[in-house]
Amino acid sequence: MALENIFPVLNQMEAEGVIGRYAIGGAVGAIFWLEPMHTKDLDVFLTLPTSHGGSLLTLTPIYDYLLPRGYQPRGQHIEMEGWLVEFVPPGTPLVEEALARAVTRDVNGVPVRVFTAEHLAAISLQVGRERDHDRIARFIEHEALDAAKFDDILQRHQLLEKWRQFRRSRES
Amino acid sequence: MTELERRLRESKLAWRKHVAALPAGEKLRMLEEMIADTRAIVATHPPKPANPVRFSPR
Repeated sequence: MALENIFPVLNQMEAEGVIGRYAIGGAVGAIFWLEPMHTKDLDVFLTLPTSHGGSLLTLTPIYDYLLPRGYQPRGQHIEMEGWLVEFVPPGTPLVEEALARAVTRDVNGVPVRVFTAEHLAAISLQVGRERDHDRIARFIEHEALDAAKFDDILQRHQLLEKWRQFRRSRES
Repeated sequence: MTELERRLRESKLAWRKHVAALPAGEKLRMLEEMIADTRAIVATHPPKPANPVRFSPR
């Protein structure tokens, strides 16, 4: 297993136009800001180039690029370097914004684009499962969030009520 | 919460913050070690259960 071998492939795919802008989200994205936590897969959020004259988004170019290089499809994932990698086009305006505002971090000399801590926490709030709430609690515990930026995201994406509910649930 | 519990909690949080501040490459390497350790535990078969007939009281 070697996550660090996946990032150069993603950068190359972006450079060759196989994919548009990409950024790491999910648990692996959170690890860039927090301590390591267990996860089984790598979520790669990305924009996809549309076919000429069409608007249909398809993952086919990704498969066409990766399968000849020895990577194998596993359900909705592609197994790369022992990791289940899921390529996910943004499904909400919040994730679109997270992708647009993602930042570059260094992994052993390789640039890797990753969602900001504030966007990761806001997405966790929007998804709202127990483990997502646990992740938000970690962001708070680690003081990893810029309060002004986080509040701005919550306001613009109508997440303030969910935030209030989250805080109430943690106080009780 | 007792004083000892509070101090343990604080030292644990301090350690987690220390780990969180490590370079991303180091944290990802730690993650992969965690996953490998978990897989090694899963691959270890527990001992067979004792034969309940043999150990049943008379």
